Amino acid sequence: METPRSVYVHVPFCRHRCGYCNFTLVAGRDYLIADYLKAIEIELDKIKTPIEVDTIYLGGGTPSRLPPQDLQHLLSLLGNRFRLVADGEFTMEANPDDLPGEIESVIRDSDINRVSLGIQSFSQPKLRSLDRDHDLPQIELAIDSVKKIVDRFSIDLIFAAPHDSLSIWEKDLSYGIGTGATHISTYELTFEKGTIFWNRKQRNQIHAPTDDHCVAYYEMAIERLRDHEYAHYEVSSFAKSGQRSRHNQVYWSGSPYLAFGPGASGFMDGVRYTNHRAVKRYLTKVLNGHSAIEESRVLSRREMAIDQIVFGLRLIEGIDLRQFEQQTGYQLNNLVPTECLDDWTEANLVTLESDRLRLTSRGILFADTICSHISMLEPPGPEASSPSDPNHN
Amino acid sequence: MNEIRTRKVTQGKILPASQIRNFCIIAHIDHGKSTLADRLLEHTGTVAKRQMQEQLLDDMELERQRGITIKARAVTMQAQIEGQTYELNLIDTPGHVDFHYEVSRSLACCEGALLLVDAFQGVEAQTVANAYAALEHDLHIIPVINKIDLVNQRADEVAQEMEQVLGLAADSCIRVSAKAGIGIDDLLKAITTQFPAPAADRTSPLQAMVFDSHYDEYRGAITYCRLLNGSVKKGDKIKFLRSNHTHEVQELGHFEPKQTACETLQGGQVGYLICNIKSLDAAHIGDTISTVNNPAEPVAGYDQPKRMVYCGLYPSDGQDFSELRDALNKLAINDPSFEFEPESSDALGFGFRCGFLGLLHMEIIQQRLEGEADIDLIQTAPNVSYEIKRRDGSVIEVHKPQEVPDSGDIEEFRQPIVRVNLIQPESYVGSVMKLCQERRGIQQSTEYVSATRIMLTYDLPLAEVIYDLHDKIKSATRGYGTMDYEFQGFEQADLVRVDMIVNNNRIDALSIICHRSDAERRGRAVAKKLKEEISRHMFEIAVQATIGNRVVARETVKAMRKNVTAKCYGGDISRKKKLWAKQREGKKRMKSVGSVDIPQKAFMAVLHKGDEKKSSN
Ligand SMILES: Nc1nc2c(ncn2[C@@H]2O[C@H](COP(=O)(O)OP(=O)(O)OP(=O)(O)O)[C@@H](O)[C@H]2O)c(=O)[nH]1
Ligand code: SF4
Ligand SMILES: [Mg+2]
Repeated sequence: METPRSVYVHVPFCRHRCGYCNFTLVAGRDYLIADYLKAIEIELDKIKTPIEVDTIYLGGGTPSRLPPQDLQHLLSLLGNRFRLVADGEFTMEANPDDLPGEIESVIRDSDINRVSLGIQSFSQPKLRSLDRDHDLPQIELAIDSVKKIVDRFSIDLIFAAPHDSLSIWEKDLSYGIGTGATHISTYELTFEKGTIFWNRKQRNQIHAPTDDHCVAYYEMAIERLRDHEYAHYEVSSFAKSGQRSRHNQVYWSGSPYLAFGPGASGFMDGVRYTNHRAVKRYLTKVLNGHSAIEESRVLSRREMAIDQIVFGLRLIEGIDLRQFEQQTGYQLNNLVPTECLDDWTEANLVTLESDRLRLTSRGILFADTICSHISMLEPPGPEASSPSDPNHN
Repeated sequence: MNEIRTRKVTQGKILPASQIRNFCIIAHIDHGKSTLADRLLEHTGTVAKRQMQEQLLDDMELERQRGITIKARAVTMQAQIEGQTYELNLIDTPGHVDFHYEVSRSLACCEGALLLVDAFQGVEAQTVANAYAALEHDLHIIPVINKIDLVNQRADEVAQEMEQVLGLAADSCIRVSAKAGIGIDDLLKAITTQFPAPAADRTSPLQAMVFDSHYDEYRGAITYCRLLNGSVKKGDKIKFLRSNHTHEVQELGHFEPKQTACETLQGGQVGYLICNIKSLDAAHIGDTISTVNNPAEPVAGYDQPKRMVYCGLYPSDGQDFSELRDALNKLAINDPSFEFEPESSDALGFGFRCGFLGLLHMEIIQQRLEGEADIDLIQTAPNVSYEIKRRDGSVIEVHKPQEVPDSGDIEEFRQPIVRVNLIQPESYVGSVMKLCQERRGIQQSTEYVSATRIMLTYDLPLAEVIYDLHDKIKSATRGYGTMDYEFQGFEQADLVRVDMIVNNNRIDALSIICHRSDAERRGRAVAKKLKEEISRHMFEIAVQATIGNRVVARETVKAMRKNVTAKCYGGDISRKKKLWAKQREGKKRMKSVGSVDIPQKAFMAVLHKGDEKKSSN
């Protein structure tokens, strides 16, 4: 087994499900927490000897929703298997309505050194339209609390929500900047199948903003945050100097990482795997001695290299091609036809300078077009598997 | 149907021709042919009651789905009627106008026809067409009024209609309910007493007419024939007189309705032959089968079915041309009325131009290709065929708009005209006439079918009829109007070709032919529809409609502003990849022309006619 240096743990509990959210979670079913902790323990028992890691990420759902003693329990389960290196990064996601409180001391006494706060907005009507429970005073309390327990914290902000406007967004940004967050993530609200918002949209009860509007929101974020020394380093991430999320970098760079909990995805020994997404099914499987994994896929060397390009391109600094070649053994133009690159360069979507391939600021707006194209490129010529190839499929 | 146990006709002794009756059931669509066939099967004990299911002979999946008969089906029954044993060979026929060809083939194998008419609906367009076809074949007709169980039945009036329109004596109509099983025994009696027995000379050389065939993957072609004279048995060497192929009979028998083998088939009978024929070319419908030595005279075959509509079928991007060809071949084997030939289009690459009997037929073939053969198709909008006389005097037949030469080269542009019979209650005559006039119809006659129903006859351009006239008539008459049409010939008209240009590329598969005075409206409608169908690209796309060099409509698909969803967690890597894979799949249903991806549906955009004609409600 490769030695992973990163761990993700999914905590699937929320008070209720927000209208736009399609994450793996159970809402209002906290009685499953005990089973959940048992299942996590079973999953973690795979780790026989403690592993030294650089990053740990507790995501959700809402990890801060765990009662303090349960959070404590989860942390000690992790602590027994993973040793965070001295300058390691341990992030926990939290909802503003769970802070402050008894949880503060649990966090302070743990290795957690970074908190990611799901604020989404500072505007009351916008928060309500997003089905979020917290309000501005609550947010302020939470931020004060977070600042007391960790040095690094990130906030999430959503744009293009129903009833959103550029002026609300402008306020959200300046408020966010004012919190002193070391890191800010901005997300466009998307309408995902199976969510309440999706259904409302189908019924024409809410309308998605036009692309032009979304671009305006996004460009405003880039500009404002840049003006306040938040470097735009990934499509949706901004950080003060030295404050990038190291954990997320692991995903984008193609390094191995472990994942636990329902719906969690990991990448080990060239295999991408995802645990059962339905929380109840995950629990039943794991507690009955079955594998937690719902699906897994072995990646060829070529696919791994492609993934590195595709996710590397989401980084604003792009890909260091020399390093890429060393790591993957592939040259860029073995994977992506030169004509494509030329077309995109001409269309001002990518630039290739001093051994770096990156998206231009226009290219960032079309990241999905370019990445989907690259990720679906067929291997050229003889490498293409013929029907007679028994390993095909 | 496999498991249905039947009383074997073949167990009985061979009956003389005088105890055989061959007949078909013909009617307007939905008047109850297949249901009547069910009752006959039941009353003769051919199929036990508990094994009965509704419209038993409609056993193709598509027939059951749509609740209509698509293919004629032959079945042999044995019946005891007034102490005498009879062999009854029945052919259930489809009622839809597209499959009229099936009806005429069936007529050629019969001495009699049951002309069914719905006791409520009365005589309708297809009733008239089928009755005339039966008379042309010199068949004895028994008029049957069905559905007398309906509370709103008006059998007496309907009997009068039969007399008035078709000259069939009102008091000769037999009244039945196929559904409730009323009057079936009387009908069986009439079949044996009124229909003539086949005149067959069983001692002369074999002479059998092939009226249908289907292809079985294991056994090869299964040929359905009507023996006119002579006899045939297992092991006989037979010859297809027209194709000049010789084969040995491996198996022969009847449909009861399951394929049931027997020892011999005799003059006057209907049955099937299996001769290990691996290509249907060798077993042509309409051919005559005889013996190798001392063969009989070939009988008159069938006219080729007339293909009324054509469309292009292309594999979508990423699908194999040869797969489509194989699938078409396989379908054509069991449906000789559809034809196809390779063609190519600048926009769509290599594909096939296919000819169909009508729009329903086209829809069915497409559904079968996608369903049975699992093929992703791009279909171009249907069109009729045209005749063009060039300046040099030569005449060409054109099956697709892109073949139309430049207008300078055309001396005469001719389009197919059909004679349309429309039957409707008097109160709707006005709106139906309006519909026909808007479509450039020329009225031929008006005739009372009964005191309150009228048959109008118009000559109309086929192109104006096939696309939507039927739907329009239905809605203009609240469902009471019916129509039928028959090909008349080609006539000159003021026609032009309208071309569609997408980002400076003419998309040949989107060209349309229409009347000059409609051209601008059609061009605008198609351009507008295309704009809706083509999704935004990274660049702006211009859509234009042109006649010759003149631009008659222009639309713009604005450039996409962004395609990025700003989210990417650990788990999103696989999720994102799935999403992209799906987008890619979606692209398979597209065709790239220049650098524009045109979705499959867009190729049907040309059916959009623009401001719908006011009269239709
Ligand atoms: N009430 C009543 N309904 C009937 C009778 N006979 C047929 N039907 C109904 O009429 C509809 C059409 O019957 P089919 O037997 O499929 O008609 P068809 O003439 O074979 O139709 P096509 O083959 O599509 O032309 C069905 O819903 C039958 O149940 C009858 O005697 N009485
Ligand atoms: S709190 Fe977060 S994870 Fe929970 S439902 Fe709302 S958006 Fe989803
Ligand atoms: Mg039928």
